[in-house]
Amino acid sequence: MPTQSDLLAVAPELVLIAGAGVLLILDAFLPKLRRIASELTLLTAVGAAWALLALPHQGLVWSGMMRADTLFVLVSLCLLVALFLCAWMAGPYLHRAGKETGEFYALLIFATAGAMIMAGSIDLLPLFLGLELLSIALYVLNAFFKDIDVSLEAGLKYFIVGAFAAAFTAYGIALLYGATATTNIEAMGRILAAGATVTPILIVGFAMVAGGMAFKLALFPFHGWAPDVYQGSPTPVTAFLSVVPKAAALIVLLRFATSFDLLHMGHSWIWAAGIVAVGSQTLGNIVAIVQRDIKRMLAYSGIAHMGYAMIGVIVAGTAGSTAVLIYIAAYTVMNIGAFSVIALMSENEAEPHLISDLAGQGWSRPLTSLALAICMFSLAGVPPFAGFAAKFFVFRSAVDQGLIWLAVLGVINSLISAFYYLRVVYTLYMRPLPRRVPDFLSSRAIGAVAGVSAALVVLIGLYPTWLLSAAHAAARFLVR
Amino acid sequence: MNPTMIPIPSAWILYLSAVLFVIGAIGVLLRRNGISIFLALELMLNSANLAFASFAFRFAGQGGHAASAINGQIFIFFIIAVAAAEAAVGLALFIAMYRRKETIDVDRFNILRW
Repeated sequence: MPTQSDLLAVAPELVLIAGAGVLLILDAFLPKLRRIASELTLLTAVGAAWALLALPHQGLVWSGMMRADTLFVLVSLCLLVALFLCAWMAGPYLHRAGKETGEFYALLIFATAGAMIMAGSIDLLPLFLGLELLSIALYVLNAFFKDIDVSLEAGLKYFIVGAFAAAFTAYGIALLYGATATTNIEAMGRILAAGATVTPILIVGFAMVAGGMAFKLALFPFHGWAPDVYQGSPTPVTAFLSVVPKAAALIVLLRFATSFDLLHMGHSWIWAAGIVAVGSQTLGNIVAIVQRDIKRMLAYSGIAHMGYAMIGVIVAGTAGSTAVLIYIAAYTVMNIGAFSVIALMSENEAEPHLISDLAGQGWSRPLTSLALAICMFSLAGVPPFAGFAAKFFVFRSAVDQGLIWLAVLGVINSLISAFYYLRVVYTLYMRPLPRRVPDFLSSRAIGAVAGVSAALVVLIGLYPTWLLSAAHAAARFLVR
Repeated sequence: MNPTMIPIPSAWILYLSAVLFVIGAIGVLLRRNGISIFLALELMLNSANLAFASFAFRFAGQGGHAASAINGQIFIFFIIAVAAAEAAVGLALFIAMYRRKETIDVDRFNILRW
């Protein structure tokens, strides 16, 4: 029977869904209030964060289907920060496009709630439902500017690829259920630890679920959709899409890796996942070099970054999980910071966002350009910034486990990636302003998003210890 | 023994679901018409349902796993609901595409390079 602690554990999600419901009703009956929809979303995100941090959370809830542990709290906090920043930058962005509606924000909130459910689930049933809540909301958001061809195309492509991946996940879950007679990840882990034979059905089932997650993470060889969807989606949606589904999918893989103890299950997992990780890094970094559109470049950069994060998933255990959590936190702020500056760049998605358009902006718009430069340095993994801390912990965890080849290939890839990130900084500061200066939006709200993200990037980079201790506590809960 | 008395082995149902899944996957990859892709996606999701049903059928026959059988059967209902939600959004996207292009051939939508 559900108890009050079950309700307390999902209080943040309930706050989110209530907020989204209010937004939908306001949109339908009080259209005049549409212009405060963005503020209401920020309020909902803060309310959910309060519910997350202030209410007591204890272990297993909903008859063992969800685990509201420190890991869940930490990841949910990252997801809510992402929601807050994306909704904040969406306000002026939608205003300029004349598309201010409540349902945009309601869908953003639903997607965040889905990701939180995914991150908190240890049973595959709520996990699948959270995945679909997240995905279906995102299909609509990608195609939100439905009279712009590229946006509609992004929505269609993400829909076909996403539904394909969802079907793989569903079939994989069916096979896992058939092999273990349960849909609970931790129960499956216990059955395996008790010495159950590893049947082909179990392996194929796990591979299909992991493949479905790899689609969400845009890992090689499931990355094909990423550049088009990133480029075509409205920029605040791209920022959201590049962070939220990836954080949730990484946590799912992490829960599988620790429950199944995949690191000690034999070499085939390490090889398969290692090839996926290194392949993503190499492909992402090399193809990113030739991109002229900054949104496409960041799509390939995202493929590479998830490759680095996969190293932490392979290592798993306390060290690997801690590293992945730090990676999620750092990646959230630096990626959203970069996209917030891109949101200023052009009228809508029908125009390309060329890197060359940034020429000389470093001197004419010093503050936003500084924020973009900080995010680029951080994405490249240059020392005092968050991206360095994230990569450092991932690579160190791999070395500690004796997976030195993974760390070495990761470092080499990281060096390659510096080229295209620093090229953006070079264009900002070293190139002269063109004669016809591109018409960039000035918005205080989007500038504030860029500033807050850049400040968080610096803060995490300079003082990673507080994040490290929080992530460490969360990882201990995961491993137990 | 009289064939009317022999139950269908649950493995046969599983094989059928695997065949349907593969047909669906090939359909998504090869078909270019939006509605055909859509049908193929539905086929894939429903083949997962059939796999759940076959395993639940097997567990229901085994004494110790009777409770697990219900787990799988419940999952089917959720997948049906999710497939319906996905259909609503997917068809809306295809209608939006038809309004702009007067076709739902997905090859006509490739302004962005793959």
